[in-house]
Amino acid sequence: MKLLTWPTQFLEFLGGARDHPPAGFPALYHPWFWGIWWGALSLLIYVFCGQSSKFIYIDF
Amino acid sequence: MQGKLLSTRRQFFAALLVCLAILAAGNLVVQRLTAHTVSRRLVADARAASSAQIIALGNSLMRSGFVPEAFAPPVPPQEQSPAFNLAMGASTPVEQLLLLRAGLGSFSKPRLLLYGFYDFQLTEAVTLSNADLIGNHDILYYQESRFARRYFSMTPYESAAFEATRRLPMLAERGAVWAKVELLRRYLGGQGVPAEARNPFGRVADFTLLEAKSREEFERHCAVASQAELNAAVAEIIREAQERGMQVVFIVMPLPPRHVETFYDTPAWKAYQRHIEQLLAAQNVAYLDASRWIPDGSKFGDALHLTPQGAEEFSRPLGARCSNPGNLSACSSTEK
Repeated sequence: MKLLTWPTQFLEFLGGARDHPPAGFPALYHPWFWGIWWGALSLLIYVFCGQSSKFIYIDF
Repeated sequence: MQGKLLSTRRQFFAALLVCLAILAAGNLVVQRLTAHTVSRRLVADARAASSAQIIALGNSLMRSGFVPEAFAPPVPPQEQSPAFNLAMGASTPVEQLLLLRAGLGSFSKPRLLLYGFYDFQLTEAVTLSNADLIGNHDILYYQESRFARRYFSMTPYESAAFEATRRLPMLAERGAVWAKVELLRRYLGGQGVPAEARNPFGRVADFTLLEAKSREEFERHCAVASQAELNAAVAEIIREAQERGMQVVFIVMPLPPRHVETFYDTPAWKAYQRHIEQLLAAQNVAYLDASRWIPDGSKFGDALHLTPQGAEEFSRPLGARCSNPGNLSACSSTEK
């Protein structure tokens, strides 16, 4: 179970559920990391936020 | 530790800048990948078809139903047909007006406009929200968008969003990205279950959604529409075509026997037909009812569209009647 503790805390920190990161995280305090992180998340949201009900795909 | 966790203002803006740079890169990628969407290809084709004389315009029914080579075989055979299919699937009269204007800018001798429609496309006011503007509607964002805005209504909020959206390819062309994701969803969702019926246009069942839910609902719609004028975009299509010296023929497109029997074999539809026939006659526009021309249901790929074979069977007799713009007497006979 301990094996899962660090990834869990890591994901909770990324998601904002924890204020403190797990040990071994300091390198990621660089603002570039957070810029890339939120940029990538925004792109993912953009790609997958399309409507799916009654979506008629027409390509002609 | 606490001090390290608190982002300084400088760090925050640096992160924001990187985030915006990634989004700007995404914007460029989407712009490049959507340079050849259906509507853009059609606009480019229209600009290249300078010798076209007979123009077919309308939505997917005309797109799938009109075969220029069957309508007006080219002479000699290796030449291009004088007819050109400018119709676009999933379009309203506003997009069709934009396509016509793009074409009229390049056609050197346009003589005849064939406008295909079904149900209430001529009289229904075009009201759109930004959520509707995906797929082929993307033309509204980039092709004479200020001009196009005169022909469809939006709330002030939606109108402001439209102005912002049309300036960002990532937003304006979002439908092209979502369509790819939708195909992936369908592929994954279709694993291990019987395949859904499909044709070249998409899922067959989807097009049933475009029909009225019942005959009663359709008849109520007929009663309201029988009091309406031609919508502004349709009136402008007629005006601009006639200004260029074109003859104009409006055609009720062939529909499957089920659609005809359920909706068109009603007094309400006949009254609506008389109404639009009068409106069109007042504009010196011919009217042709071809809704019953293809009585064989197997010539339709779904609830609305002709198969390629059905399209040939529709286009050939249409050409026999209408391919001579100098004599359209056979092209304006109403069949009821």
